[in-house]
Amino acid sequence: MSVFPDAKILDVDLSKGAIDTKTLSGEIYRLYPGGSSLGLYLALQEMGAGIDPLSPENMLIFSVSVLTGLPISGQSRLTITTKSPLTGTIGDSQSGGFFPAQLKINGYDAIIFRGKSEKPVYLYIDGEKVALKDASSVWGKVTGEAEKIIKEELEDEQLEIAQIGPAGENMVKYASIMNMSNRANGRNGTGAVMGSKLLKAVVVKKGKARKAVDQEGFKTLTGNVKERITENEGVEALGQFGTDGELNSHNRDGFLPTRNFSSGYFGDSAKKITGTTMAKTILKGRDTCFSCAIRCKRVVEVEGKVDPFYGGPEYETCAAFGSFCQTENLEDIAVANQYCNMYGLDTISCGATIAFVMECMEKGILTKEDADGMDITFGNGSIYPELIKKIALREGIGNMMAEGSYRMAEKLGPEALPLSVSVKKQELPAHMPQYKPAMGLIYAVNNFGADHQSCEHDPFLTMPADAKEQVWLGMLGINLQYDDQKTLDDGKVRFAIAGQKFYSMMDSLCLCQFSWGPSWQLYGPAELVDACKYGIGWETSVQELMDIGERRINMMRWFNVRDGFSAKDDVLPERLFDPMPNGPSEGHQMKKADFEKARASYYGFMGWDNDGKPTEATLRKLSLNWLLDK
Amino acid sequence: MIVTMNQKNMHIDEGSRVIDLLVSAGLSKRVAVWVNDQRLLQKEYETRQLHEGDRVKVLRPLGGG
Repeated sequence: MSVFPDAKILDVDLSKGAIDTKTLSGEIYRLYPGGSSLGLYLALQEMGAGIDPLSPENMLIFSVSVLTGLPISGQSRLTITTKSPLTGTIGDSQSGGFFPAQLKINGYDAIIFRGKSEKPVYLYIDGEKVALKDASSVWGKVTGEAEKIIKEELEDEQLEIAQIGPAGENMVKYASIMNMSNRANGRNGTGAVMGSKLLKAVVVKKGKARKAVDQEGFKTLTGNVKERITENEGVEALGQFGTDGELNSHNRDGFLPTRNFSSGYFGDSAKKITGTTMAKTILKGRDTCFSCAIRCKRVVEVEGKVDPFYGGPEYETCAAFGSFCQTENLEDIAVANQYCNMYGLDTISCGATIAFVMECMEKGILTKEDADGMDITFGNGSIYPELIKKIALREGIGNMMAEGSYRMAEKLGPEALPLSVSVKKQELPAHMPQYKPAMGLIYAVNNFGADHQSCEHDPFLTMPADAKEQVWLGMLGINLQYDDQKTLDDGKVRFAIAGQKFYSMMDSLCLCQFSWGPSWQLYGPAELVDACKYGIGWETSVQELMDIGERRINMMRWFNVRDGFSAKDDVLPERLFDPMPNGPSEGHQMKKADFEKARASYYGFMGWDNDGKPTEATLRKLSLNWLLDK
Repeated sequence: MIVTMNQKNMHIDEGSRVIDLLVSAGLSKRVAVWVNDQRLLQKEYETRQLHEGDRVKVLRPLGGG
């Protein structure tokens, strides 16, 4: 058994203006080695059931991991853990950038924020020098302006800043936390919690990269990274065309969410918003995260309309503001992306809520008068700037939309509820469960609402047995082949669970899911074990890593069970069980009975009871018996 | 000669291998392939010769982020 480092944690009481430093022993840290696991461990020590997410009692936890800041691709990820104001469940969100690595380089594994400040503040960190500073000059400012003002006030350009925009200040339920003004902890409305505490930003002074403890060993992973990328078609394409590179491929198969998920086919319009088109038109450059060689981030520019400072749209953004809303104008989508980044909004929930309103308008549930005279109709992307600003500032119809599609539907009446395509009140990402049913199962049972990065995607199980994707999945104990990815059976449930545990572990070690993963990615399970050994001297195994992931899933589930969540909440929107209406997927149907059978299998395989609650034996198996007293 | 790929006719040279068909369709070997309902290993794409009338099914795995 190797020695494991201790975790160093900043504890900031915003009500008292007090800052403390804590140490978590390596023995405990090894069980919860960063990110979401560490955040959950800290939250569950103190937070009971029934807390209002926007009250001072909610904790807001920033965390990185034991691996963050090492000089290798895909290790600079920040996790936010809190109770989500959008879902009412445990809240969880990840982002990349340079801020995560710099937080770790400054010596910290996590920051706990508790209470509520009397006036707007930001936290400044320069190693041991940590202080709360007045944020009145930047409160109300969009992210780019606030970043500029903070750097001017501190007379220092060598800073990384994670902040909320006006949407977070106004506690929009899907407000994000932004760093670099273009990297988002987007999901679950963590920015609203930050706003409720009058915490505008966290500012860290830049330092030098960490060194691996075994630099020669580490070089076996990093020395040939260019060749690794060249030999990996999926990763190379990701760098070339970004996450949006496959949008048209999803459409070609008939499973690109279109018109608020009522169809999977966007016709020829999909080509106009796909990553290859972006590369030929508005793309100005590629950007990256700390020490990452893939460079998947887009930087786009439209003269007079889109400032490259705010980055460029991802696949999810192009789908949410594109096909969800039947908008085929890539410039309109780029403008929407910029406004979300300026005001601090999750592009998925924002685009999906707009698509929901478009359908409500089409069905006469909302009128143009309700919409402040705006023409919020399918295909009209010209409204995005004005509408996004209204949402962020909670003006007019934007105030209702700021609650998300589900809460808005509850207010509008029973005919509106089926039009909210959400799980646990969080809007679905742009991968259709009808096409990827194992992922659909995870959408339903996931503890913080529908999420597309909480398991591996179904299609990789169609690959031949000697393909890299299958060899790596075999390391997780998944040795399955399917002739059709749309099947949902017990084998797929095992695949979903193994993938969920692995991805859950990656969200604990704060690893990017394009650099690291169990199938197509740059580095696989065996390389991760090596990275732990060479990076920090941690002699681990795939089994230990999978246990970390499973532990996190069960902690999340326990957090939710205490607040009354159960099998009744592990459901998919009814619309997804309708036959596909048109395009290449016409007639295909995901059967509700198959889904319900898979969910029952999932509970059983996870060691949970029929209502989705972990059994005592399951908790004890995972060294989580302490939860029984929480 | 003519083979079908995902139910569409494809004209290819005599003696073409699976990999030649994939390349002509703008694909790489990062796909799943069946010939006349028989699944192939990836290493067979380089060696398996196609014949007139062969039915080829190709699935390209789509992940995403």
